[in-house]
Amino acid sequence: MSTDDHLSLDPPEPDDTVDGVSVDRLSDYLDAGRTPRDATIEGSAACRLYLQSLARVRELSRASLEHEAARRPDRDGAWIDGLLDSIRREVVRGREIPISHPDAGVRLSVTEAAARGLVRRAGDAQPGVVLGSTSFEGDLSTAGADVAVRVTAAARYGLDLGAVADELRARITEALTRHTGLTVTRVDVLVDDVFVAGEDDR
Amino acid sequence: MSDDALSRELTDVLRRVAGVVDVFDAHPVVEGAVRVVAAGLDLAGSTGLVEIERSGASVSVTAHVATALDTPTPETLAGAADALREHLASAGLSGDDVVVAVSARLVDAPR
Repeated sequence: MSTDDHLSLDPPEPDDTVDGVSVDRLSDYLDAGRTPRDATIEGSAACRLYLQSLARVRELSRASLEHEAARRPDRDGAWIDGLLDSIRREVVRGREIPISHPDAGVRLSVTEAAARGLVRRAGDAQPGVVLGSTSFEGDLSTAGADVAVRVTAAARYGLDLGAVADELRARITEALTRHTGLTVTRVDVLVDDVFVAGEDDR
Repeated sequence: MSDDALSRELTDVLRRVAGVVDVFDAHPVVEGAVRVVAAGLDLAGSTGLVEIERSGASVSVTAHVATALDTPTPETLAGAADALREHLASAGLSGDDVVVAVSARLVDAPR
């Protein structure tokens, strides 16, 4: 992430918590199938965003990443830890992105964390891709403003990286346009890692 | 009607809005924690999640929601604001002094 991104986020929490809840507790909760319902966790948008992403990382861990970790455990364990840390930082609320409404007495907005969650969801829905980090460049404080998006991603070995980037751009642009009203002018995709598909990888 | 009771009603109103999949506590963190404890002592009721602030004649109503992935979030938020305004008007709160703010904290698939 860039220095600007850090400035745009809320003050960092302790390294092992999300909205005051420890990542260990979140991990255990996910292991238990999110039952019985934990009102503190389910009542926190940040925790819910983290759980979404953690579930996806777990899914990958069981497939391709596990395969890689068995070959090079130090390297891939660190990669997963780095990814989870990136996710933990991104789920903090961040800026409010306003959405226009004709009534002056109505103020609508989407949080930057929710927008980042949309980008991650769009990326993770693409076969053979694991999204790394997301940053926005532009005036997020203006409804419908032009915004450039920059993402890093890992791609499955053997894929056409140009095609991967094109599809990712389209998915991210569609999600942000539909849910935030922002005008996405550019999506920069940096594929900075490659992983080998496991037997049950998509 | 007390603001606590109104907050509870507005929370229920939001839960019925198409595209709203959840409602989060919009109160500041410390106040929210106190309210949860208070609600625990009052077994008859639960805390409303919508924040209502009054300053003179002005009323500010703030709601935090999760919206559904399959509906454009601006559409859902506008529907939520309309529903809140309608209910506030029925409670005698309308006009330029009433401001309604609705923020999407999460866009999620319905669970």
